[in-house]
Amino acid sequence: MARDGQFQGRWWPILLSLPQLLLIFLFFYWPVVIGLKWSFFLERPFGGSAEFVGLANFQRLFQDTEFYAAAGRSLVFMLTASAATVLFSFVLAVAADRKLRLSGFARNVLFWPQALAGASAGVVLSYLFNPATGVFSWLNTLSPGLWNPVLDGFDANILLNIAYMWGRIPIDFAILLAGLQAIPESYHQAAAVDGAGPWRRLLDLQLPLLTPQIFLCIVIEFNESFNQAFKLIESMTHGGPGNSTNQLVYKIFVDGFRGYDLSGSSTQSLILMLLFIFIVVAQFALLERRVNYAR
Amino acid sequence: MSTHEHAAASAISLKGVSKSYGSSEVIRDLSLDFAAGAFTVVLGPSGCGKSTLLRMIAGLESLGSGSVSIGGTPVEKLPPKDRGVAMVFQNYALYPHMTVLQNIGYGLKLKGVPRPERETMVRETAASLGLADLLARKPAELSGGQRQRVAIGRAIVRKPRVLLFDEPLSNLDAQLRTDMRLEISRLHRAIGATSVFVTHDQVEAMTLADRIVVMNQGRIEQSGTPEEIYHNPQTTFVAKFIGSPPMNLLEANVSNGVVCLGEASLLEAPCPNGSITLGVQPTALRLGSGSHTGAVSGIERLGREVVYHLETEHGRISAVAPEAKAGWNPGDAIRFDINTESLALFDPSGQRIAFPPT
Repeated sequence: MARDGQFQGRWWPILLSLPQLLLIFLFFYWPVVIGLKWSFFLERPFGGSAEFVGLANFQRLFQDTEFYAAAGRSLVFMLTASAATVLFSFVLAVAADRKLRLSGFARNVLFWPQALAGASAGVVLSYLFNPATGVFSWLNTLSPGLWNPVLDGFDANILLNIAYMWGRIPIDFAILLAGLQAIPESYHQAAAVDGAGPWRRLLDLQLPLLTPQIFLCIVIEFNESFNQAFKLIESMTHGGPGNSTNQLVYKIFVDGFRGYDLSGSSTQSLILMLLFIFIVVAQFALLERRVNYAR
Repeated sequence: MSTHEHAAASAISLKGVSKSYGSSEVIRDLSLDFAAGAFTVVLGPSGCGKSTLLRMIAGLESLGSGSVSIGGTPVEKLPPKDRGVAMVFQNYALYPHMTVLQNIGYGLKLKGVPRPERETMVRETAASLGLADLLARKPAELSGGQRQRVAIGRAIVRKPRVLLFDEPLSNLDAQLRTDMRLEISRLHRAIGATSVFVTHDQVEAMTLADRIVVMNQGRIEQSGTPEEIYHNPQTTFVAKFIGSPPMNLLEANVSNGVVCLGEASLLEAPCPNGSITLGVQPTALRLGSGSHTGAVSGIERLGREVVYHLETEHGRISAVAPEAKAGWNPGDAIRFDINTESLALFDPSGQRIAFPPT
C-alpha cells in the first residue's frame, strides 16, 4: 500500500470489485443477454433445442392487443402512483417541518411502513380494504357495490395505488423532510421580514429550494412503480378483475411462468427495458432543467 | 452629535422586555428607547442577548413579557411584515435561487408594486450600492462583499422606517469591513431610517454609532455616545470591552481617603477604606521615568503608535506610546508614571465611583 492510503497496481481495484461485478454480471447482465437471445428464438418450456425465428416473436407481440393494454396500464399506474406518492409525501414533510404538535412522533410513525416487505403490505391491505369487512365497507351500505375492488377494475386500481403509496411514502417523506430541514432558518426569517407569510414561503422559497429532492423522488418513484408493482399485484389482485390490473411486469411473469411462453415473455421484458430507458432519459431531459441545485 | 430627524423614521421603544429559553433568561426586564433617525449600536459579547433583542424588534422572536412599539404603535402582536422593519442578516440570507434583481425586489413584489416601477426602484438601489452590473447574477456567483451589498439593498429598497443589522460585517475580511462601515454610515445619512446595529466589535460600534448601548447578560450595562462610553465607562465590564487595548484595571487600596497602588499613593478620593479597582487608560501612562516599574513582555508596533505590554507587581498593564518612544525591547525594565487626571475608580462590585474631576 502506498503512503497516501491508495492501493497501487492495476489489478488490485479489479480484484476487489470482482465479487460485486460477478454478481451483477450473473444476475443482471447475463439474464439480459439470454433474454435478448430468447427474443429471437422459439424456446421450449422444458429445455431442448431452440429454433431461430427471427422477428416472429416481435410480430406476434405487436398484434396482441393485451400487450398494448398492459403497457398502457403500466404507464398510467406509473404516473398516478408516483404523482400521488410524491404529493402526499411533500404535504406530510411540510407539515412535519413546521414543528406542529406531535410532529416528532409523526416522523417516526411515518417511517415504519418502510420496514415492511411489499408482498406483506399487499396481503394486509387487501384484508383492510376488503369490500365486505374492510374500512371502506360502509360505502357499500350507502350504495351496494360502490366499493368493490374484487369486482370493479377501477376500485382495484385505486386499491393498488393506495397500497403502493402506503409502502413508498416513508422513503419520499424522509428525503423531502431532510431537504426542507436543510433550508437555513435565516432564509425563512429574511422572507418573513420581506413580507412573505408561511404559504408564500412554501411557494417562493421551500418549493424551489426543494426541487433536487423532488426530482430525485420522481425518478425513483417512476422506476419503482413501473417495474416493481409486481409484488402488490401478485398479492392483491392477480391482474384482475378482468385484466384491469394486468400491468406489463405482471403479464411478463404470467406469460413466462404460468403460460410457459418463454420467448414471448423475454421479448416483452426487452421492450419493457427499452421503454423504461426512454422514460428515464426523457425525465432527465425534460425535468432536470428545472431543478435548482444552488443552495 | 446631531440626530437626523426624517419623515421616514420611527422611534422604537422597548418597555420591561424579558425573554427566556427554558430556564435561561436571555433578556432581563429591559427598557430602551431608540430615537427616530438615530444610529444605535447594541454592543456586547456573544450570548449577551443583543441578537435576541434585535429579533424581538423585527418580530422574529416572541416576547416573554413587556412591550415593543415602533413609531408609537404597539407591535408585539404584529407579524414582521406589518412592522415596517427591514433587516440585514449576518450570513446575508440571500435567496439562492433568485437573481440579484429578484432578491432585492422580492419584498416590493410581495407588496404588490407593479413590475416596471419595481425594476426602476431595484435598479436605483443597486446602482447606489455599485451592483448595477450584477443584477442578473445569482448569490452563488457573488463575492462576500457583493452579497452583503445585495442584502443591504434588499433591506433599503422598501424605504423602511426601521433598519436592523444583525452583525452584518462579521463574515467579511478586515479591508472590506472598513469599506462597508463607511458605506453603511453613508447610507444611513442618505436614508434617515432609525437604525439598530448589533455587533460584538467595539471598533464598529465606535465608528458607526450616534449612541452605543453596551449589553451584558441580558441587561444594559451602559448607554451613551461613543465618547462617553470610551472616556467614562460606568462599569468594569464596559471598561474591559471598549478600546484597543482596553482600559487597564488594577487592584488598589484606599486608606484614609488616599488611593494607593502598592506602596505608592496616587491621589486623594472620598472613598471608604478597602480595596477598589483603578481604571487607567493605556494612553494615561508616561513611559521612561516615574515611581513604578514593569518588564516589557510584548510589543505591538502599529505604525504611528506602539503598544507595550508590561508585567508589573500590580498585574499586566498595556501602555500606548507614540512611535518616537519605540526604543524598548522585550525583557527591558521600564519606569513609568500614571497620569492621575483621567483615572477611573470602580467599587468592588464593578460600578463606577462618582469622583469629581480635578
